[in-house]
Amino acid sequence: MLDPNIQRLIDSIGQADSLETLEAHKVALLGKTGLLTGALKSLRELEGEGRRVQGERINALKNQALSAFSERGTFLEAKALSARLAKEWQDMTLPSFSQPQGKLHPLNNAMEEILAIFGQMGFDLAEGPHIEDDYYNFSALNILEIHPSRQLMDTFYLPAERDGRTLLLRTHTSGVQIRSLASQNPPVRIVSTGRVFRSDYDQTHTPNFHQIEVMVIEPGIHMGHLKGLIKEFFERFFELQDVAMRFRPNHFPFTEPSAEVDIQALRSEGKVTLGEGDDWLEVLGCGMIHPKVLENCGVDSNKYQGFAIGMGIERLAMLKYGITDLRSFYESDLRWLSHFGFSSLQAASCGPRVTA
Amino acid sequence: MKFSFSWLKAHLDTTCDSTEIADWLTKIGIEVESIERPGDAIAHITLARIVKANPHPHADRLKVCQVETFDGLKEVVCGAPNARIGLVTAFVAPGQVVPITGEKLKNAIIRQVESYGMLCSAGELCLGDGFSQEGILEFDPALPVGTSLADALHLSDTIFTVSITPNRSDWLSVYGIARDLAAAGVGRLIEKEDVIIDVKIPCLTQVAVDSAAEKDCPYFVGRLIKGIKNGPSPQWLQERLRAAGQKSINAVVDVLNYLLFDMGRPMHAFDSNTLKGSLHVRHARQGESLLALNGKDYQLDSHTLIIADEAVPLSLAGIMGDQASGCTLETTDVFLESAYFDPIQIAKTGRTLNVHSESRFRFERGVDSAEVLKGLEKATHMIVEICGGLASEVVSSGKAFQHEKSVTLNRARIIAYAGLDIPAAPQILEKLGFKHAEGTAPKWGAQPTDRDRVEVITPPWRHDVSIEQDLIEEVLRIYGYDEIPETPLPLSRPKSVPSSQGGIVRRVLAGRGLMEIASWSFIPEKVAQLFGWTDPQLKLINPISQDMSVMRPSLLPGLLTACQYNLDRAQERVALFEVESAYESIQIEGQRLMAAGVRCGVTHSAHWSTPTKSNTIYDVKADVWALVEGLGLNTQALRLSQENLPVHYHPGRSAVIIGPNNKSLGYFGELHPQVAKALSLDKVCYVFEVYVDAFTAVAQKKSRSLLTLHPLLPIERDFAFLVEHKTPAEFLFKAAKKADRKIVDVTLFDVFEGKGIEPGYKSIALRVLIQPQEANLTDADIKNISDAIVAAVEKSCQGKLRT
Repeated sequence: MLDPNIQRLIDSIGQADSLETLEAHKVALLGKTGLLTGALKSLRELEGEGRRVQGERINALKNQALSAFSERGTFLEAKALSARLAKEWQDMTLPSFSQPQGKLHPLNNAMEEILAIFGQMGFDLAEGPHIEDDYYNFSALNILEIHPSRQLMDTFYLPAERDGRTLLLRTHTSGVQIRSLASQNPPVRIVSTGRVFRSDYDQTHTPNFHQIEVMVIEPGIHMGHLKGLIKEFFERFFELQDVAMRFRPNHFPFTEPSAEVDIQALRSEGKVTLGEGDDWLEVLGCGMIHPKVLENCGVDSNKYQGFAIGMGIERLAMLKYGITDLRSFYESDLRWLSHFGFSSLQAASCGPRVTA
Repeated sequence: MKFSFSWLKAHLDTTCDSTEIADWLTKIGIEVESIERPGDAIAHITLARIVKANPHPHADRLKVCQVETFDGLKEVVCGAPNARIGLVTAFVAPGQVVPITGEKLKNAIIRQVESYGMLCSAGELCLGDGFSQEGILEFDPALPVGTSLADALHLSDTIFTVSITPNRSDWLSVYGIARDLAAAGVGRLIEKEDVIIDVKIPCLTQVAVDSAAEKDCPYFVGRLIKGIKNGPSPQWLQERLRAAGQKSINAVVDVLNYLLFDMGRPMHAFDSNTLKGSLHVRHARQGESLLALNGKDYQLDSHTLIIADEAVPLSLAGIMGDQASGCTLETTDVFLESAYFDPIQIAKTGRTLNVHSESRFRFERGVDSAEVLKGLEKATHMIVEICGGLASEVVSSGKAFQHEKSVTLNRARIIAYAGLDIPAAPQILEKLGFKHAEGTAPKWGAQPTDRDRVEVITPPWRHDVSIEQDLIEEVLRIYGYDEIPETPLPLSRPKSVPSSQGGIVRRVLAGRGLMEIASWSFIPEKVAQLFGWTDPQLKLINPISQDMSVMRPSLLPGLLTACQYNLDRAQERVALFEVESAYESIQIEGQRLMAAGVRCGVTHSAHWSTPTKSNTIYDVKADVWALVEGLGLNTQALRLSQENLPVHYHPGRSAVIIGPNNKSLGYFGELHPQVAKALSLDKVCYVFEVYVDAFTAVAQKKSRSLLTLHPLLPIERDFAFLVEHKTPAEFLFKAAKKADRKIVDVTLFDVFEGKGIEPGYKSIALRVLIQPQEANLTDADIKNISDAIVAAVEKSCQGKLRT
C-alpha cells in the first residue's frame, strides 16, 4: 500500500504560500528521504504484475507532483517578482552624468563643408604658406608694384627676404594658383582654403581671416561655366533649391573679365535670410584668369583659359549659420562657441542638393 | 565718389529715375554704396511767416508770435532773438516729427501760453555745417508760405555714393559716368561744349619743364587771369560741391574743385602776385621743403616732382599746392595750371610723402590726356564768368598728346570666353569711345566667321585697356553679364579631399571635451618672449598694434588669453584647443601645423553621482595620447623626457613627447608659474602642444594580421613594489612586461606615499595579466613568472616587493 501522506502532500502543493514552503514540500516528496523517493525505492521489493502496477501508480503520482510543483513554482515566482517590482523604484528624472563634449569652431566647419563640396566636383586640394613673398602674392598675379591696388590690400610686411624676395603675410589665397601651376600643368581643378592677413580691424574686418580659392583651367572653359559652378556651389552650401545671383562687372588685376557676385537676401531685424527679399549681399569675387598670370606660370594663354574664384569663409559661415558679428569668431567666448560650434560626431555635410 | 542726380542729368539726357540709374550703374560695373535724399528727413517741413511778435506775458526772453502757416494763422511761442515781424522761417506743426528729437511735436503750454507748433533753427533740423547756428532760419521774404523746406534749401536732390575700381580713373568724374551710362543705352550723352576764351592780355609768367622732368610731365599749360574779384561761389556751384562732399572755399578754388569732379581734370591756381619770375616743373633738390595746404611740412628730395618759381617750391606737382601761393578771397590775379603727370611718378611721391588728395587720386590712376588744354579753357571761362577779370594767352611747355593703344578683338575669342556671341561688339566699343582702326570691318553678320575681328584705338581717357580680354570685358559689361548662360562644369571623377590630419585631431579633441577656438596669428612681443621667441625676422614691420606684432611661436598665448577671458566670465571649466600654424622661422617649413590645448579648473561641473575633480597633468596627457592614437601612431612607441623642455613649461611637471626616430612630437604639462604670473592667469593651467605635421599620414590598413584567440583563461596577479620617490613608474611597468612572454598586460592600479612607507619612497601596485598559451599553468609555472617579475623590477629600478 502507498503511504496516504503522499496523496495528501501532493494535494497540498497548491497551498504552498512561498517558494521556501514549496521547496520544503519538494524535499518531503522528492528529496533523498522523500516519501515518493522512498516509495520508488520500495518497488524493488515487489515482483511481477504487482511491481508493474505499483510502479505505474507511483510514476503517475510523481508526474502529478512535478507538474503541481512547476505550476505552483511559476505562480509563486511571479508573485514574488511583482512584490519585488512593487518595492523597487528609482527617480528617473535625476540627471545622468555625461562627459563634457567639446565642439568644432564654425569657421573650420564651414571650411570642411566647402572642401567636401568641391571634392565631389573633382577638385584637388592645394596649399600655400602664410609667410609669402611679393612675387607669389602680387607680381605673378599681375599686381604691379606701384599700382594702387597693391596698397589697397593693407599688407603686413616682415623684415626679411626669402630667395631674394620681400616677405609678407599673404593677403589672399590667390597666390596658391601660382604655386599650383608651378608644380602641375593644365588641365587643373584646384581648391584651397586657409588663413590670410590684412591690416584692417573694425566691425567688418579682422586682421586675420580665411579665404577659399578655386581655380579651373580646362579646354573650353568659359564664363558660363564660372556662373554655373558658383550657382551649384551656393545651392549646395546654403542648401537652397534655387538661388538668385547677381554678376556685377568689377576689377581684379589677376582676372579679366572680372566680376563680383551677390546673392539674393532679405535683411530684417539684424537677421539675414538668403534666397528671399530684394536686397543683395556681396559674397565673392571671380573672373577669367588674366593671360599675364597664365604666362607668368609658363602656361600658354593662347592655348589655355580658365577661371578663378575667391571667397571669404567668415562671410559664408556668417550667412549660413546666422552669425551676426564677425569679431565674435576670434573672441573665444565659451558661450558663443557652445552655441555656434558643431558636434565632432557630425561629418561635414556634402550631400546632394536638398530637394524638399 | 559722390554726386547728385541733377549733376548727372547735366551730362545725361535720360528718363530713368534714380533707382533705375542705380541699377544701371551696378550693371556696368559701378558699385552703388548708397542712394540718399538728404531732404527726406525734412520733407514734411514748410516755410511760415511771422506776422506779429509780442512779448511773452510771463517771460522776458520769449515771444508770442502770430504765424502765417500752411494751415492758417497760429500762435507760436518762440525764444529766438531773431524772431521778428516779416521773417520767413521753418515751421514744424503739431503732430510733425522734429528732426533733432525724432519725435512728433505736441501742443505745449509754455509759461501759461499755449504754443501751436515750433519755429526751428538749423540745429533743431539737423542740417549740419554750412548753416548759421544762431537763431531760427531766415529765408528770402519773397518765398511763399507753405514752400517745402527741402526745396527752399535745395536739398530735394538725390545723392549717389559710388565706389570706383582702381582701373577706372575716367569714372572719377560725373561726365565719365554719364558717358558709360549713355553707352549702355540709359540716355543720351550731352557732349561738352568747347569754350572760346577772349584773350585780352599777354602772359608775363613763363613756364618751362626741365628736360629731366619731361618724362614725368610731358605737357604743361598755364595762363594768367588779372583783375578778378574772388568771393563766395554761386549757389548752384556750392550745392554741387556739397553733393560731392566738398566744402566751398572761394570761387576760384571751387571752380577748380568742381571741374575735378565734373570732368576729372585736376588743376591748380596760384596767386600770381606771390610768384617770383617764371615757373619750372622740376625735381626737388635735397633740403627743399614745402608747407602744403593741408598744414603739413614736407621734406623733399630728388624723387619729388615739384612746380617752383625762381625762388621756392610752390606745389607737389599734381598732388597739392603750398600755403603761401594759394588763392584767397584777397587774390586779384591768378595763374592757372593744367598738366599731364606720369601716374607712377605721382603714386611714388604720394606714397613716399604719405600725402593724399583728390588730385593725386586721379593722376596716379591716369587722367584723360586729351583734356589738358580743354580743362584750362573751361576753368578760365568759369572764373571770368563768376569773378570777372582779363584772361591772358596760354603759355605751355611740352606737346599736347593723346594716350592711345591699338587692340584687336576676335569674335571667336568673345564666344570662347563668354560662352555666347555678341554680334554688336564693334558698335558697343564705338559707343564707349573706341575708334575703329582704318581698314577693319566694323560690321559683323548674324553668323560668326573666322574673319570677324576689329582693331580699335583706345580712347585717351582709358588707361586700363591693352589686351583683347580687356575688350571682351568692355563688350560684355555693356551687353550685360546677366546674358552669360549658366553652364554646368563638365563632370569629373569626385576626389576624396583627404580627411586631413587636422580634421582628425580636431574631432579627437572635441570628443574629449575641449572647445575649438580661433585666435590671432600675431601676439605681443613680450608674450612671444615668454614662449621662447627670439627671431627678429618674425616681427612685423607694420603691425596693426603692438599687441599683434610677432608671428606666434606657439598657439598657447592665444589659448591662455581665451582661457582667462572665460574665467573672467565665471566659467569654472575651461578646456580649449586650436589647430593652426605656429612659426619657427620665415622659411616655408618653419610654418608648423600644431594642435595645442589648455585645461583649467574642474573636469566637469558638480554632479550628484560623480564628484567634481580638478584638471590635472594627466588629463592633458590623456588628450595627447588620444590625439597620437588618432593620428595612427601607437602610444607604446612614445618616450617621455624632461630634458630640452621649452621655457614656458614647469621643469618638473612637464615632458617632451619623443616619437620613433627620436623626433620631438610635442610637449605637455603644467604652464611655468612665471609665465602664468606674467600673463596674469588666475589658476593653474595644464597645456599641451603637438606638431601635427610631424606625423606622416597613416592610413589604417584595411587588411589585418592573423588573430589567435586563446581558449585558456588568463590569470591575474597583483604586486606592490617599494621604489624611490623619483623613480618613473614607466620603469616598473616596462620591466614587468618584459619579464615573461606570457605577460600580455600590466596595469598600474595604485600609487601610495605616506603612512607605512619610508619617507622618500613610494609604493606602486601592478596588476599583471598572464595568458597561458598551450596548457593551463601550474602553481610552479606561476611562481616562476612572479619571481621573474620581481627580479626584473629589482634590476631595473631597485624596486623591492612589498610583502
